[in-house]
Amino acid sequence: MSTPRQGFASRPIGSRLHGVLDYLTGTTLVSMSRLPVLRGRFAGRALLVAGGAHVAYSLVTDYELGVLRRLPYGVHLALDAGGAGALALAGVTRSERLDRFVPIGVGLYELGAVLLSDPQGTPSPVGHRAVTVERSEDEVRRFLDDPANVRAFSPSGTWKGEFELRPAPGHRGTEIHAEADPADLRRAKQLLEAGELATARGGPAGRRGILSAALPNLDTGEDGSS
Amino acid sequence: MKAVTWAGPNRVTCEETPDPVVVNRRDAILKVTATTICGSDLHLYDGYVPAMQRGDILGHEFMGEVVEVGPGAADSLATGDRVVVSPMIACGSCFFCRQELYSMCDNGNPDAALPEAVWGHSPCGIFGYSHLTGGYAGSHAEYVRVPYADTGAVKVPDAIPDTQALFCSDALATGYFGAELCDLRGGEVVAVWGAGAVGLSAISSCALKDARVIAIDRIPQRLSLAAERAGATDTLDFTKVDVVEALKELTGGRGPDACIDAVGMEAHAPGIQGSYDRVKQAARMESDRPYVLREAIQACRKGGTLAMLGVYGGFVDKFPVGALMNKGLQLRTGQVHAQRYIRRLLDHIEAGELEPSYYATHEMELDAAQDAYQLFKQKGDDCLRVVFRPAGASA
Repeated sequence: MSTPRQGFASRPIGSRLHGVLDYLTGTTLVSMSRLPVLRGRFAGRALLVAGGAHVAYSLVTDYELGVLRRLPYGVHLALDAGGAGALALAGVTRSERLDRFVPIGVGLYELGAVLLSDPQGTPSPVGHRAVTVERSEDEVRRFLDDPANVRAFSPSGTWKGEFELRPAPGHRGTEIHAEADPADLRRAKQLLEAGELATARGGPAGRRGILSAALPNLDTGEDGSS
Repeated sequence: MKAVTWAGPNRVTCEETPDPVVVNRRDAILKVTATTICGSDLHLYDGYVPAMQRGDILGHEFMGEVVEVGPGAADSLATGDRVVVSPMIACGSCFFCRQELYSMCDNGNPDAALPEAVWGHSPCGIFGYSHLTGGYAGSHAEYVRVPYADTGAVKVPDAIPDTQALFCSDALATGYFGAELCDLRGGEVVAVWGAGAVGLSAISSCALKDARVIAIDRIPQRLSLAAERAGATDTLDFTKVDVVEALKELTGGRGPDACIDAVGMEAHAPGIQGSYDRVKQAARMESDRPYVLREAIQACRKGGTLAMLGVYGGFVDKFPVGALMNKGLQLRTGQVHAQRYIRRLLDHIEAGELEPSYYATHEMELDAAQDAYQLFKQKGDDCLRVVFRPAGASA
């Protein structure tokens, strides 16, 4: 069994990054529409509508950066594509240079962003994974069979409980093979070897910037600490 | 408490944050008595490490007094202990830690998915060194949480003052590690690029192993320290000589047996090659400026060893892989396994064989962090290292 190819080979923009682009694009388009060179023109009005609509339906999209989360992510991408096409077509119908090329340019940019976005949002991380643990097969089996441990290393409940144990070459521990979220296997290994979950929590930070909220938080140590 | 936080490229600020707390059984909380800005902190300050967030507390080279200990670390530490701490956050019990390869610890990085995506595998966690290495709060603060404190915090003998013990945390340990990577038996010639604190410590450590050491830098004061304090037998100013040719001349045409890069991703270089790398790095077309690596590979004798101590983060251009292969060089590298070396270094200091206190050229307040970083970056006023004393000077 092998893990499907991921990352650069697939569409590289996940739903979180797409959300960041949505808000940046929306606010930039609205700001651009207020520029003296575009204000009062068709191009300015088109950008204002496109930017405002972008922010509006992003707020209600069911993804990491949505607020009300009612609109399915697939529909959001369809709106992106439709809006981009409409913007570009509207530009094609104009004869004035700015009114023609600004909407066409923005439309093509948005279309590019849609084509590079993974329609599945953030793909499931679960796949065939393996990790080697510096413990005997018996110790590992007892650990993985204990529901309290499972709650600690798989706080999101993605651990299916199906695994295979193999002795690591050269008597260097035990390999765990499973259909699993790699984060679950990392936490299981931490608990088995170090006796606790690594976490940066407990160490403070200063004032965060506005972009920090958009960054993924991979540190789940405290959730599983006992 | 007061802490120095990253506020964007070339900006740090001293602000009030909550105090750290014990989260895990093996944690300890330290009152920081001395912490220094390391050369690798400049990569964060300059904005070349992408996984920084505004508000992250900086600093990874430090010592302090234990003020709280989790029950899992209580067998080895107690309140009131004076300890120096490894920057590398390592569990002490995984496959790598059992071989004393602490900076490769499998379990210390809670954000391991990030470096796995970039580098294939994750190194250990590191204090105050971006979310690539765990997002841990750093030591440029009045207090710091030390995970796996039973492994990473080492008690300091009373006879050793802070100004000596502090550098066992990183600078002295890293230089010593570099000398070990060169596998010196005595009588070799070693060229060391960079005469900052890590370079000086590499020079001292190689000299301790009876090597003849050639120091390479561009700052006269640092070259003087290399010769007068660290034990370099020769010095080269790379702005004035062709380093590869000069090294050949100094070694009878053979080249140094071992070369140590104690500079890393922000190497300075004269001429077109230096400008080329600067432009490419500024345009983010390469993440690191590999000038020292290129020169060291060119200069090293056939079959010699190249030890990379300077920090690199991503991708470089025009890497002379042909010279590396055809000359049969050994490339050895890594973040320092400081837990392996700290006790040994304290012994060397007690025996009078190593003396790093002269690295501390400046002492400043946390409130002056912006000035301190800028002074250290510009290397003004003969600054070699700035030391913060958040708890006040004691030793």
